[in-house]
Amino acid sequence: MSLSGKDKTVVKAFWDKVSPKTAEMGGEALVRMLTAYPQTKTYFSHWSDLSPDSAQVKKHGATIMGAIGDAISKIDDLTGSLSKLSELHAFKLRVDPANFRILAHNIILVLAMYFPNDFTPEVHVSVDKFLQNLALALSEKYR
Amino acid sequence: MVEWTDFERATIQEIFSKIDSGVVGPAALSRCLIVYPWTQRYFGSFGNLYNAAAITSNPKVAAHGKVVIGGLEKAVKNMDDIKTTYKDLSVLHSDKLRVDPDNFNLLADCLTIVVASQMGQAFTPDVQAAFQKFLAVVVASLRKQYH
Repeated sequence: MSLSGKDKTVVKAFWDKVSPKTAEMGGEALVRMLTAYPQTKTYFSHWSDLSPDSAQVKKHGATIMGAIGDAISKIDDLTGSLSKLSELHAFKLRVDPANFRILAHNIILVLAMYFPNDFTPEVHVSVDKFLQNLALALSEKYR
Repeated sequence: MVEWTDFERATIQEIFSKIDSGVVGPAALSRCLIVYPWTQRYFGSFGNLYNAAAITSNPKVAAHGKVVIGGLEKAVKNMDDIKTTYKDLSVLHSDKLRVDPDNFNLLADCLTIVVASQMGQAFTPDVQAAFQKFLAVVVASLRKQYH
């Protein structure tokens, strides 16, 4: 389900609109992933605090959203631009790629919460496709 | 038997008393049909599903969205035995409607997203976890009679 020209335009426009809130939303999404899908906590056992108030979690959520924003600016070559991050996830972090879908769901949920009028079904489908392609690019180096 | 904490019970009851089923049901179903277009395969008799605008304004989609919420409300009233409550519904989806059960998760996700956008900050991470647990039990009960 590759990205059409329309998908890319929609995603870019929506991200531009929501960019002031992306750091906060990233923290929110990660908190929700750890709360609603507790098995994901297994990847963060090196952090002392995995509660919803955790500064570590919120900061990391912001980092992830920053990387997503960066990927959007390079949306025409996700595989190439995510090569280093893919290596990191494949060889060092070894995150099961099924979890990318879980995080994507929580990101989408937070986008809908913060921007209920802008996150229309049409925007939703383009963002969902984008995050799916992002996950694919991130899993590229796994095997 | 599913174990529900007091918080989970109260949360589910509260969500369903707060949401407008006439809005949430249609919004969730139409979002599912738009975001995951292959789900349209089960709605051949619903008429015009050609684009997002058509789906959102389709009266049959809206009516069916309300039916779905009605089904969920049955589960809310029988939280201690959703499996038995849904036995006939499960047989219906398996033998008559022949819905691939993986689709239940897609609709569940859309429901969660629509409820989140309705409730805003009141949809806290703990509330989200409770709601998703409820939907997971619903989905498992709907899958139960497939053979």
